[in-house]
Amino acid sequence: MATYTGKGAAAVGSSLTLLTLISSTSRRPEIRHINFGAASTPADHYIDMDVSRFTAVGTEGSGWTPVAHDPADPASSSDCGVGAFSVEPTYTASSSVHGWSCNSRTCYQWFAEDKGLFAPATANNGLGIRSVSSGSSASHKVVIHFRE
Amino acid sequence: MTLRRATATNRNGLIILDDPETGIVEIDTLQCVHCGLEFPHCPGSGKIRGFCTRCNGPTCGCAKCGECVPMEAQLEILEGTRNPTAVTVCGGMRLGVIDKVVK
Repeated sequence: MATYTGKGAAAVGSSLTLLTLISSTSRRPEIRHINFGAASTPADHYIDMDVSRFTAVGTEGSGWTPVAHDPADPASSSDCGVGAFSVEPTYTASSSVHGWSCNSRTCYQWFAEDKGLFAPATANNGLGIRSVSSGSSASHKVVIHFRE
Repeated sequence: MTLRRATATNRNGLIILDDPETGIVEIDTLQCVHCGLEFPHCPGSGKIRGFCTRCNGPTCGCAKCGECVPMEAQLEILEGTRNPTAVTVCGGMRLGVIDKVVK
């Protein structure tokens, strides 16, 4: 399996997506690592984050081509979308696979040691990392490592 | 200094929080063998989790994970390659969709 990096930064707020991992029909992407933190000088405010499955990709602010950790690996069949989204992805209700709440001054990291967070191998489906709510609208960056 | 809140025997993942006031905090995470939810291992939190003896792993404790539909089967249902009504279950009677269980 090849591993890739996806990253993006966007403002947090009420139901604002920062980064999406979009599946292809050939392989299931599996998020193995999440790194989240402030992209500018942080202040004391809360952020409630969520990772959920979506069935429509929405309209992303910009794209991000996943970077292979091993340059000899083929290009990723999955894709990444970066906020700010003008149309949010269509999230499936009760499909959250991970979530956390933290202070903006905190750097949050999660590492999978066994199984990661899977998305189905279906076109335009995937996993979205979004802020459910926040005490400010400051920009935050999220970096993911995924494999497929 | 690293503060280790609690350790799980068979953790699935690890959370590392780097906070300027509390320092580095590490928290083990477990994964629901049915829905795939990655949740922190917090003994004494009061949250009711479960354990599936068929999958031999923890469950998140939500109602729909009370019946055994393994994560692999749920992904295949999402991909449209498995009939949701044909999934075998234990611990409940299947009514055709994942959310409905009759004990």
